[in-house]
Amino acid sequence: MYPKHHTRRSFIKNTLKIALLVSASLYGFTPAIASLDVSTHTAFQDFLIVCSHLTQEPKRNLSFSYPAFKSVHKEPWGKEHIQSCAEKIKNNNNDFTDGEQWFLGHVLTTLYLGVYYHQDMPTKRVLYDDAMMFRATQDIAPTPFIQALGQNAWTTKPLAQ
Amino acid sequence: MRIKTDICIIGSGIAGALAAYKLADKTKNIVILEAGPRTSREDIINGFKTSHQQDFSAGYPNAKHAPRPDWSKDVPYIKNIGPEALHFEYLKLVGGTTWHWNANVNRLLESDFNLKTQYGVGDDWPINFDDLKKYYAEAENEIGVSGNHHNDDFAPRAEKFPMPAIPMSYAETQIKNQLQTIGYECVERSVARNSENRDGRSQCIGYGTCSPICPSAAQYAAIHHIKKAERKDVRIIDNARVTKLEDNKNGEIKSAHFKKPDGSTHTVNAKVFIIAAGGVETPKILLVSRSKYSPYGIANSSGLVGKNFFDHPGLSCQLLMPEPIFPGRGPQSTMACYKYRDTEGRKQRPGWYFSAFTRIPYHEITLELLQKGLKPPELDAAILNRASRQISLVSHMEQLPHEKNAITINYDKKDSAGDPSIEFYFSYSDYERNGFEHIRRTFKQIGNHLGAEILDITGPSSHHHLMGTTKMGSDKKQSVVNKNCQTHDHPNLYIVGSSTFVTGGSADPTLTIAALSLRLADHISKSQ
Repeated sequence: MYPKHHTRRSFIKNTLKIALLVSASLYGFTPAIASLDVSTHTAFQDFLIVCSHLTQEPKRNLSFSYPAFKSVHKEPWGKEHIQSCAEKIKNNNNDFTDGEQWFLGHVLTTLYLGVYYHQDMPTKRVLYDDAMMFRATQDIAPTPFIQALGQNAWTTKPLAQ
Repeated sequence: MRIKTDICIIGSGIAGALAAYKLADKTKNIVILEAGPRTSREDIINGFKTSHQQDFSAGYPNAKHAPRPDWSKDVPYIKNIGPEALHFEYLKLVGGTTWHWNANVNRLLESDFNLKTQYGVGDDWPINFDDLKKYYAEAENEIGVSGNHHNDDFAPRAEKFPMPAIPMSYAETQIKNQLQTIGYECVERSVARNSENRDGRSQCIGYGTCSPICPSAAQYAAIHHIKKAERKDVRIIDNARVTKLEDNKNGEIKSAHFKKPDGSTHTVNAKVFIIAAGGVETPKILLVSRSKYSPYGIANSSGLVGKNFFDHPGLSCQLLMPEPIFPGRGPQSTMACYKYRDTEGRKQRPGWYFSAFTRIPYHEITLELLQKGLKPPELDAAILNRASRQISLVSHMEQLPHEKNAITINYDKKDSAGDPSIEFYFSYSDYERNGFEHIRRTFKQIGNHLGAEILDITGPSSHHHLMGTTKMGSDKKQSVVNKNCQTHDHPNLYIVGSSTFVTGGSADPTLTIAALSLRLADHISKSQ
């Protein structure tokens, strides 16, 4: 028997949350992501499908995109575009509408620059360390503010070159 | 609050910090008033990592009670009213603007002090190079300069630099080697950046973010001397915006009134006042301090407070090299060419020098490629390709002082702190335009020789070197302070900093500011 104040509905809800927490921790997600409600978690999974399609990175490498997802998800068109694009990607359907094309470009821009632009909202930074523009150059230059080259290492070519 | 002290310094940047640090050897009671807040290096770095803005001030405080220029704002702190819109920046926080400089420290040339006599343009200083020589050496020792004394930047030097030069980056070495073949001798820069552990600060380890901020503190910032001054019992009051200096019938400055963020007003009474608030805030404080004894503002019997503004306007040339040279590694600028600092050409056009700037403009490059429709993996390859080949050449050009280029006060409009707002008239003369043309020609020649694609030549834009607005001179009708930085009108009021410069040559001004500050400290100590 369950304690009286636990309804069958709350039991299912809590069990689902635990399952999400376990799967989220396997993917290395932060507690903020792990504690999402079911519908938001589903939307984030769809967002990861979109990001993976755009960046050609496996979903498991893209958990850093959560702050970008939060901004997109809040938009009036966010949920719908995330879902429709993810659905098409899952079905290998590349026939995106103009609105979806714009949306995909918007997500890619956000992931690379780490800056969220929107005409109706103030511009804001959503990613720094993980902004993908830094990944592109990680073998030749340190990420500003994050890494240092080492004493006088700037006098030579990068080792990878 | 009413404070009584011996010396009150307004401004905690390098000029105020060094003066306080040195004066504290002989004077016990020194108070520094700083308009902005006190913050930590970590908070500033975090400010940049969380800001979407790309400018070099984005991570620094811009408090409502201590506003500063931020040109991204709809209503700028300073309104341009002249034919040229010059967008310059400075900071308001404890330690001042050396938090986000590039640490380039050249001495002025002997001829820079005698521009009128030698080249027939501009004006002469009431002091010459020899008057500052020992203070240049002292300043280099205090702030810690790395340099190669064999490198000729045309300024006389008897002693070695305190530290060996920061070695030139790979990228800049490639440029240097090619420019040598067409007569441009490029040398390691002298910089206030540690090439070895010294004075409690570590050796540079190559974060590559010298401007906007050095995360390791290998690069000098005046907060270093603020802390040293505090260890000598100098008192720093932050968030203390000076709103008025008060004079008396004897021409002495009695007090400085300042406001805290809660709106409360406080007063400092001192025997000696030093204003060290930079080329814009210094004249502002003087001009708004009108009284029955000084109806046009403090120290302004000449009418020249705020006038004769000049900068080091520069052009930038963005080059895309034919092969990767790997910029973005280590200090942002390790090489300069001083060929045109001091030639006979200065009769017709300004002296200037150029340096390389190797910061990778990640945001701009990526945005441009995204707008072209590139997608991964081609996008990543294109970012890497551009980032490994793009480099800038940056010129630093002398500008002549002109009275009409001026900071003025608009009493009808208030800034965010509720103080009268600042207006700024700025223009170029043909002398400067000749210089821009010479720089453009030179950059095109260099770009072609390097086999580079010249992406753009931009500018002129400010180097944020705000000079001339409380000019030094012997004639009280033609200047604001005398050769000892003492105001002609008030015996106990001194001004130190770039606002006292008569001309600026092409040298970055900070070392001269530091030297003048140390010299002033000697003068005041001897006079007391």
